[in-house]
Amino acid sequence: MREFLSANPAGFETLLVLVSIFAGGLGALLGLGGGIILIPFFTLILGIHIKYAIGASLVSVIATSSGAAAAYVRDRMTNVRVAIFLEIGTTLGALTGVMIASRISISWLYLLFSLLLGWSAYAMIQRKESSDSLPNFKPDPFSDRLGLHSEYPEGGKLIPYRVIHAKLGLLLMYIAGCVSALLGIGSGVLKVPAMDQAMRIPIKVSSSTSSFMIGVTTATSAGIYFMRGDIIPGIAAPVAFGVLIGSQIGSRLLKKWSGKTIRILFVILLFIVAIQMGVKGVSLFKTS
Amino acid sequence: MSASLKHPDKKIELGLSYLLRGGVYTALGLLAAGMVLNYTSGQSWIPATDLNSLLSGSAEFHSEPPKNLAEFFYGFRDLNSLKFAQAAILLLILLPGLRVAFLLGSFIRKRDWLFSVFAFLVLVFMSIGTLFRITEI
Repeated sequence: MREFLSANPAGFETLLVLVSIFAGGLGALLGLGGGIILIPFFTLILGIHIKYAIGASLVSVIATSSGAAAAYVRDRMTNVRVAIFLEIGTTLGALTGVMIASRISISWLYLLFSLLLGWSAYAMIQRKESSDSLPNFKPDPFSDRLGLHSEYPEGGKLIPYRVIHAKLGLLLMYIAGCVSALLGIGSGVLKVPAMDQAMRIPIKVSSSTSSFMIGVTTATSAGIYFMRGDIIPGIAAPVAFGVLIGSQIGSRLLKKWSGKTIRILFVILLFIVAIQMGVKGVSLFKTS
Repeated sequence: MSASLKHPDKKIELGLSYLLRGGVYTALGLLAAGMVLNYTSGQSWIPATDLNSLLSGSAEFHSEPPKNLAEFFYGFRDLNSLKFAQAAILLLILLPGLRVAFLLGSFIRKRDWLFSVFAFLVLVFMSIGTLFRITEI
């Protein structure tokens, strides 16, 4: 395939656009950036150097985030107050992660988070989408004071929901930002379970709010890659084009698909990432 | 701020939605224009010779970032597809920061001081990350 693509720049662009539509669609649907699909595709299948794969992936994360957020905010699916509050944790966590990177055993961290993601996946299976939109949670005065509660559209109606454990959510986002900076993974896989499990935010709102948030932490890195010349327009431009289209498709699917379907898809993805991290942790442990 | 379940920020969300859609559609338009130029005028975002090297895992590439906005102006005037792509990518990279800045302005206008501080903190942490070249994948 590489020989064919080498001789056909137009075919190369078209292939990138098609794969990116899929990555952007899945990313928008599940609140992720799409790097989980694109980086292995660039490096393992196309043989592109990891540096340029990451540069294009960063652009794809931002494009997914902005493309999906444009639709979700309009449809009132995103909780903007929750997003801006939690972004304090993710951005500060990312800064901390980079500062402590040299003092942490990365192999153990991979193994630890592999187990944590596995447990999150299990907990997400156990949690059922509540038919009661305002379940009888113990009131959380801090979340009340921040005015984090809101409503989201479902089946032609606006369903109100209550947010709880805002402080715990902030702490988990700090850890998510820290871990994603340490391990080089997108933090959507950590943000969505944190909002879903700890803050009891409906899965569709968790996913769309995560989509909104992921662009913010990634923008910093993308700016650096761009100014360093490591974002190659020949890869990043078709990827951005495909991802922007895919994110529009994904955001429409989120409205139509049930919370249960989104939850199952997310759990499958969590298990895959947990296994990937476990394997990487073990291999790093063996080589160190 | 109360424990009300009513949607508190409808106007802000509407404005934010316009900003995001404007940015996304402008980027899409620039990318589409660049692709059309590639197909119609024989330009390419990556020449076949470089593509061969790229697909062989070479790490020797460098995409010179634009030095000023005039480069884009002349690039658009000359229908240079690469400048269309670079402008779209730069716009996408700037969009998350712009959306936080927009939220900061909106919260200040609404006199929601607590969330103004939150948005300001996010902007500060983003700026520190850029200043110190901190990268997160």
